[in-house]
Amino acid sequence: MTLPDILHFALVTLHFALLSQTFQKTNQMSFQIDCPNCGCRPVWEYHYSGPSRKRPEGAATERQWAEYLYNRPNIAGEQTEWWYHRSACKLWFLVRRDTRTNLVLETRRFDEAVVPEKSEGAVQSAE
Amino acid sequence: MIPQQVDSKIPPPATIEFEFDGHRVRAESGQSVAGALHAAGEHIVSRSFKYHRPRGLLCMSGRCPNCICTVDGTPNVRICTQAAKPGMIVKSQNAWPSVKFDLLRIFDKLHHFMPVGFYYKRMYKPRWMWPVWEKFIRRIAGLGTINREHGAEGVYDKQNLFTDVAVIGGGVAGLNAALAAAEAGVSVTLIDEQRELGGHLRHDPELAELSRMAAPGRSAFADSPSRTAEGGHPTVGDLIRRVSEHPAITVISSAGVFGCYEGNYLGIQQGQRMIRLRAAQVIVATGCWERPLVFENNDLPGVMLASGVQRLLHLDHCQFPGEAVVVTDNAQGYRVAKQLKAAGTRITAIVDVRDNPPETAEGIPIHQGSQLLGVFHPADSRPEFEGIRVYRGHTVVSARGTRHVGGVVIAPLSGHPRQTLSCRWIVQAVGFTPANSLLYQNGCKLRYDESVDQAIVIQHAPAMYSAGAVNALHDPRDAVLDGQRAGLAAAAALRPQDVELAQRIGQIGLIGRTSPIEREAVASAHYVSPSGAKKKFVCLCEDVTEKDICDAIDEGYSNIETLKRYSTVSMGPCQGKMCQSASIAICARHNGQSIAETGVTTARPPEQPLPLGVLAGRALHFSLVRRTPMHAWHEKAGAKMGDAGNWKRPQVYSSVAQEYEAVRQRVGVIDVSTLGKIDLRGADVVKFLEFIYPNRFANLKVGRVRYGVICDDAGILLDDGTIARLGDERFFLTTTTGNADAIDSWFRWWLAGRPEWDVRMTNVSGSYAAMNLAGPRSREVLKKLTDADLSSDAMPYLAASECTIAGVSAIVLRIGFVGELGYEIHVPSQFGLHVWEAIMEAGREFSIAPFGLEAQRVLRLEKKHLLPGIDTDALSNPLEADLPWIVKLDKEDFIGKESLARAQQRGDRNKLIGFRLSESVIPDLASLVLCDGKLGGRITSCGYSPAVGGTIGLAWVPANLARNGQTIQVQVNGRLIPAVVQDEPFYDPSGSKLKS
Ligand code: FES
Ligand code: FES
Ligand SMILES: [Zn+2]
Repeated sequence: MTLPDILHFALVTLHFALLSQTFQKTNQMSFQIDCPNCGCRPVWEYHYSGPSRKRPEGAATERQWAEYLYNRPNIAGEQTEWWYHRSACKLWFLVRRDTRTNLVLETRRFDEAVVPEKSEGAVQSAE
Repeated sequence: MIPQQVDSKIPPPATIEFEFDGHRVRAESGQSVAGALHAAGEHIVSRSFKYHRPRGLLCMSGRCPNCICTVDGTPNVRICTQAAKPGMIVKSQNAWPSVKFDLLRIFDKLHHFMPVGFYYKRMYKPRWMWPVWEKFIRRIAGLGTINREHGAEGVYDKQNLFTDVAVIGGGVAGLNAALAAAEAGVSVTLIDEQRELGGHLRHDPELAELSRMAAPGRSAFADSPSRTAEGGHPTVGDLIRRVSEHPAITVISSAGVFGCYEGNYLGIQQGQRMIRLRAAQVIVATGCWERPLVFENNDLPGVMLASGVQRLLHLDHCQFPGEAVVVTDNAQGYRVAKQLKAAGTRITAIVDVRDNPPETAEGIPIHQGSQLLGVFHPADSRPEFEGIRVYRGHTVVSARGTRHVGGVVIAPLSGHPRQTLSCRWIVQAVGFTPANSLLYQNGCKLRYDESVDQAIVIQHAPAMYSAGAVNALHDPRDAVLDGQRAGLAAAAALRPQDVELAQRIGQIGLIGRTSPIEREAVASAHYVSPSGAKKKFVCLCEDVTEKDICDAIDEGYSNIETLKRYSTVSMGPCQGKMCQSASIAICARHNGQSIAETGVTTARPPEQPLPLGVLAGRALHFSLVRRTPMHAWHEKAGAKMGDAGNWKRPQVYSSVAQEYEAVRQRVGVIDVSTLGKIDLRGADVVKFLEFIYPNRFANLKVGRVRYGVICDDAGILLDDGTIARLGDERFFLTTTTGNADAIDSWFRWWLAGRPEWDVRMTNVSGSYAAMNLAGPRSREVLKKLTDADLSSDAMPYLAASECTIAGVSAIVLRIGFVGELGYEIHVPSQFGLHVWEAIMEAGREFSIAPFGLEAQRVLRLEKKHLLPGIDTDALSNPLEADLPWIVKLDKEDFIGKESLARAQQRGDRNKLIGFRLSESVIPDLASLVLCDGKLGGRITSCGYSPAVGGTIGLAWVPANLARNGQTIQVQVNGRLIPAVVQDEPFYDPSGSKLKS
């Protein structure tokens, strides 16, 4: 006797689980990014490392450090962020991206001129 | 004239046999499993999900739930799209004991107790009943049984492809789009879910013939060889041949596109393979499917969709013995009636929902588009329509029969008077639902257009096009041109300079509808027949009736999205393909809204259910395996290999005890080629190292090596390794195996922000093979292989030198991870095996032994050397990890300085300590350390130490317990065992052996 069990559940779960995980995991995003070295490549060749932020100067307060270390701006809109071409040329570079649409507006090396005045320039640390 | 068969490559019928529910069924070769069952008179192929009602073939195209069976152990296979193969074992599902006689049909009688949402309402009171119910429901509901013994057969794999233009759908629009784009000079990938190309034209010879009549003057191929000599378009067979043979077109058949993601990235399932296709332009020519009419007992076997009937007739060469009644609101119904009649079925009646089908005094003209197929009189004397009665303004109210259709009740749209006709088949041709979910998924904007009774695109997503029936162009003549237009437009987007292309698009011009949609203003009668009966199934997958939907709306779930979730309508295996249109129409009617106002539920991937293996299956051929240059030697020596990241590393050769003994007493050698290795050169390297590491490097002399740890700005220990200074501006660094890539990227990131620093960094991890020669006799072994002075004066502990070993230039570091006199030797990888063998040879007289990771773990534990990531975690800083001496807070700035300074002020909270257990058991890793009966810490490493003669380990404990000689309690198998904290290393605490 084979009373069937679970596939309906599996289907519904599949629907939800896959939507929320497999397809939304960052390494499954399907947009492409122009590496300044390699050109247009799929996003999972890259590693995302968050928005470019200024490392506090030596005399910074504890609050400034805490902000830098533990808080992320979580911007809905354009932001300049660090990406690493992990699976290929190993270049760290900057991407200006709209976080709402994933539209990549600009990619450049750190030391390349900032094209539109709008981007406030990338910062990583005080030197 | 009967147009010739579309499918010209039907092989001569040879019979094969397969098994269905234990008995043999014959099939012609090439026939589908479902077709063979139909021919054999097996009309019940499944039982419904909730009420276990008998279900038979409906769509014959893989779009409904009715033919789902288990085939050769794989559950939930749609047998109408599976070719019958000899010896195949097909089993029905969801029935007990069999589909023919299913005891669970009792649920059909109990439907009073199972109103919509019944499990939300009834089964949780009293509370403890729910688990009982749940178990019961789980047993009786569900679809199919997973074969747990061997899982699904074969390998799930992945493929990555890209193309200029992806065309989804191999019907008339898709074929023309593919050909037009390819002839315009771009690469095309055509994806089709059926076994053969052709779409509806495969099974409707009249439509196929009609497709050749597209306005020739407007064709994209007006002056190309694609036109036939007679001036018409190629036959479908020719079209398919030309597409299949075109060098620029790749055809992927039997493959479903389950998702369209940003950047025109398509997820495609083909059997057990997932294809990820990146397309510059996407043309959606997915066509449409026929929708069922909702009437009482509309799920009885024998109730079929017209296109399903056509597929059985023309693709599977089946017949429909007995009488049939066709219910229709368009020309499709008349066509299928004619075709059925030609195949020997008696057509009792055509029930036309339209009050007023296009009609002249002579009778009803049967159109396909503007082409007149014939004039039909209720009492037509012409042979193809002889004896057929047409009931206008009528609809089907109910099907009669229990296991198969035995009759049909029809009535005017008002519902009365009713009359019963006897028949075996009820054929439904009441309109189409466009397959537009991929358009929704990719962000196209669609709006329901009442004039064509379907949603059409009002704004396309970038680089996306639609063609054919999804654009409400159901006439194949229009679809031909629409396909060509889309193909040319997609090509033109890729070749903006091509003027000729633009001209050709201009020639096609606007695609109008050759014929008006032949239906009057859409009334809900086109979806649902009027009657108050209960068993009017809207959703066949989930056994949801019209009444359930109305009840759910009355309970407040009037929004289509909440209605879906509450009633589960459109949440079954077909993903709403069969029930979406009707459920929206009912929702609209019951809410007193228009269909456009009611809207649609959100389309999300996957477009159809996928085997989990397709998504989760590992692409083994894409995963990297790294082997050291000495790998073959280790294997030959019988080493047990283990995974370390992508690397394969020897775990143990002979036994840990023997290997341990060799290192401590004589000499051993271990392959450490997997270490990360970084070459740093430039004027600012010292500045860089001072910044990266908490320790000091400005005072590191040339020819010396120093241990260092790397922290992040939060002061968390990330990795450790050695830093050797080989020249004024030249350093050679090692990292742990596991963190080689992370540290590489860490260095690069900090350097990326400092382009003005003169630091040139090369990752030489793969360029060097490395081995650690260790033990009291190691100097004697190495001496045989080099001219360099190895004496303790010339090369003391922590010396770094470049010299020649066995004829190969090497970097030699005198360090002692395992606590003995030892040399870490780095040589170019191509000489790794040579040097390794030379060492083994030179060491033979000292009984040298290779040792593996397991022995190394014990050896280092006796020295209390921590392993980052094992003995430390994301909360460990070097102060607490027993390395306070390494942090030089008086340096100007370094990564982590701020946090470490604050941590030092605050004082240690926990500490990594060494301990000796009072019993000789070996606790599991992460065993708890209890203080005063409360959780205090945990063990991170432990093992048997031959030097101590007992169990030793490393553990995190609260700082107040981290005192030499303090007793702590370790929980082992529920028992508390005392252990003693020990500050000193367990072996050679003074380091005299190391420095000898
Ligand atoms: S009959 Fe096979 S899926 Fe509909
Ligand atoms: S009929 Fe399949 S989900 Fe409703
Ligand atoms: Zn790159």
